[in-house]
Amino acid sequence: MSYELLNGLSPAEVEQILELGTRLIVPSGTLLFRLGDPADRLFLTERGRIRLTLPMHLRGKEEDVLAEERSPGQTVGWSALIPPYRFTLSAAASLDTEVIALPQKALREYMAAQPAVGCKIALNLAVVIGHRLQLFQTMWLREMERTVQARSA
Amino acid sequence: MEMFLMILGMSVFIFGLGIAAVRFQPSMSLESPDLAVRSELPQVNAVAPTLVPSKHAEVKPVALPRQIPIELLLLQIENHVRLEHAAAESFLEFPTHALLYSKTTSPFVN
Repeated sequence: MSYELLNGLSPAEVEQILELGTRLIVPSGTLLFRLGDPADRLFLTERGRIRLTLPMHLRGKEEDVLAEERSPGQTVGWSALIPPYRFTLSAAASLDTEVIALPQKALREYMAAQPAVGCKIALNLAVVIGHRLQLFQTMWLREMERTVQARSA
Repeated sequence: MEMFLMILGMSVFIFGLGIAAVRFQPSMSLESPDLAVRSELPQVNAVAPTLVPSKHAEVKPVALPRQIPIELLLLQIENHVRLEHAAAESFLEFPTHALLYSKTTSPFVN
C-alpha cells in the first residue's frame, strides 16, 4: 500500500510513521468525524471508502450532501495539521473501511524530531490540499458559469 | 294624462339610471387599486375544482410540478457532484478552456 501523504519516504520511515497510529475498522455507514469536531487525528485510508459530506438545507431540514470520496491510500482529516484544528467536513464510511488513525500530537512531534521527513510530509500535504483547492475552484467556477448563463438567458 | 306622466317619469328615471351605471363602471375598474392588482394576479379560482355542476366546458387543473422525494433529490445531487467532480478532474489533468467549460451531462441542471 502506498499512501499519498508518505510519498518519497523510505520504507523504514513509512514504518515509523505507521507505528504512531492505530488501525481502525469503520463499518459501512459509521461516522468517522463530524464537521466542527476537534481534529486531533489524521487518517490514512487502508481499504474501503470514506464519504466526505457537507450539510445542506433541503426543504427546511439539514441533509449531508456528498462533497468528495476518499479511496485507499488517500488522506482524510488533514485539518489535524492545519489551524484551527477542527474538521471542516463530516466523514463516514460508505463501505466497510479500514483506516490508520495518526494522532496529531505524535505526528507533529515526529515531524519536529525528523525535519527532513517532516518536510516531505508537509510537501505531500501541500499537494493534497492544493488538489482539493483546484478541484473545488473548478467546480465552483462551472457552477457560477451556469448560474450567470441562466440569469442572463 | 296621469298615466302618461307616470310613464314619462319612469322612462326618465330608467334613462338616468342607465347613464349613471355606464359612467360609474369604468371609473371603478381604473381607480380601484385593489381591483387593478387583482386583474394582474393569476386566476387561481379558474383552476380550482368547481363545487357547482356546470354544463359549460370543464376547466381542467393545471399540472403542477410534483415535489420529488427527498431521497431522490439527494441522489440527484450526489450524481451531479460526482459528474462535476469528474469534469473538474479532467480539467486539472489537462487544463484547457474547452474542458473547463465542457457541458455537463448531469440531468440535475439540464
